[in-house]
Amino acid sequence: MPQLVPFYFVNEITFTFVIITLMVYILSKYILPRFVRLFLSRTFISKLSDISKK
Amino acid sequence: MASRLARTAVGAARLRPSVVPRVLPALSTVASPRYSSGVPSEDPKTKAQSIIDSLPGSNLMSKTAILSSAAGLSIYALSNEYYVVNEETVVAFCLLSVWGGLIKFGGPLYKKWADEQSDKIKNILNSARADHTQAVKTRIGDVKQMSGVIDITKTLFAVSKETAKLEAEAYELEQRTALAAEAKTVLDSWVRYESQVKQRQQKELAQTVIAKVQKELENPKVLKQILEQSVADVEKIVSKA
Amino acid sequence: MSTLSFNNISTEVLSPLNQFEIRDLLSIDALGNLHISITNIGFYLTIGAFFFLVINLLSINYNRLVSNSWSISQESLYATIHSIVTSQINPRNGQIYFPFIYTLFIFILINNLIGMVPYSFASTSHFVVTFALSFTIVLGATILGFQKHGLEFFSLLVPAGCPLALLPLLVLIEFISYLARNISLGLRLAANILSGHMLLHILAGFTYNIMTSGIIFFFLGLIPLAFIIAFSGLELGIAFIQAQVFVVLTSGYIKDALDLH
Repeated sequence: MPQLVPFYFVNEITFTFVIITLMVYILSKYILPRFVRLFLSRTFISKLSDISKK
Repeated sequence: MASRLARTAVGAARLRPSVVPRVLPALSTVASPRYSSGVPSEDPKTKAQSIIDSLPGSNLMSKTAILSSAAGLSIYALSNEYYVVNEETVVAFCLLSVWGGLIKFGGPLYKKWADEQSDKIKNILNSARADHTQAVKTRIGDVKQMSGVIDITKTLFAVSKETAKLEAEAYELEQRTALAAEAKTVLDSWVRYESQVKQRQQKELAQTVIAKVQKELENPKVLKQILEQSVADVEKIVSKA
Repeated sequence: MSTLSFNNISTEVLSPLNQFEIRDLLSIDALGNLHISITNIGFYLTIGAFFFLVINLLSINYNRLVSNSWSISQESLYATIHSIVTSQINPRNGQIYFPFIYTLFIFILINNLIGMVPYSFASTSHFVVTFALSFTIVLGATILGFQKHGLEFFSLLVPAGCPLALLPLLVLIEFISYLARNISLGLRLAANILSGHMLLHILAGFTYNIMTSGIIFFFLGLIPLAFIIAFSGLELGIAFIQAQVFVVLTSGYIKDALDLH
């Protein structure tokens, strides 16, 4: 079964962890804060009337 | 594989000519009663038109060019074994049909859902904006009402300053009169006291004098002296008269 | 792969496992025994990550507040995983694991979907990849639990409300099931994807043989073809569901380690 050919195990694992680490870094630094800012600004605008009334 | 496909195609082609002439007279006999009914006569034409329309390309020339180039490319790829038709083709066909079906049927659904979501967000944001402008406008109105408050406050302040000054003066006068009244009462009391003392002294003096006279009157020599003096006075008066 | 020749026409019998073979694309033999290579799995993993980043970049919509259809997909993905993380792990303190869970979900989903494309390669069908992920996750959750609770972490192995007499047996069973978490998480994903692709391939092989035998069989072969189309749809659903199950279970394991149920 080609999945169990041990020769490429280290290669596969290395690629997997490198790709996952890279993705975690890029996501948590650039992409997820963008979403947070978007949702936060939407909530802020929709709650502005409540804030200003109080 | 390609050779097998070609063999089956050739076999199918060999089959078809024998099938077609048999089918055609049946088609014509079937077609004539249809022809008389009139309605489906447009059907093959519109169907052919729709098939031609579904081909990529803008006019007939480009459509034929695209069709022929696609055919040529596929024949080139198949004959040079760049694309081998094996079971992977079946998998590819099935997967592509699943993807195509999803895109065709799920596409409008997804677009509708996405539009719904964006409209919801737009509504919320717009209503929030309207609410906020309304609130700001009422606040502006409220504040505008209080725009004259500065002058009012200034005059109030001046009035209160004067009032405070006047109050201070009044207080001072009051203090002064109170002091004067107090001094007067004190002087009055002194005066009363002095008069009381004088009265008492006079009374005492009178009492001592009366007591001395009474004591002297008890002395008979004094009585005799008074009697003689009074007789002398009476003789003087009688002699004068 | 074995070749048999019949009447000078040699055909290779392609095994359905051929699609999972790892091939070198670029390789360097450095420093003696070291064989550094870019394999097709690395290539497809990189393509998956790149594809996801490109999709995210394209769906930014000029940072507008109102979203178009592209950015809604990304936002709904974010909201889905956010709801998973909030409901499975602690609603307040669990947010710290959110980027990791998001990455896991995206990684598994994109790689499953890339495997769905014809003539491509399913990276998550390799046991090494999924076992590496699942062993790392369960080990990480265990370390997290030990770091937070110390030796009290072993109270995880004691289920609530069990009679005192059965305690040793239950602890042993719970311990074995805890160890089995490592394997089951990775095995579930890899086995699902592997079996789906293999079945697709085998059925397609049979259907191809049917359909190329003759013209009548061509039309007869449309029935298994319809079945294969239905099965491909199921495969697509499995791609999504397996990613979600993996992520839900990961969140559950992290919650177990943090809260000791």
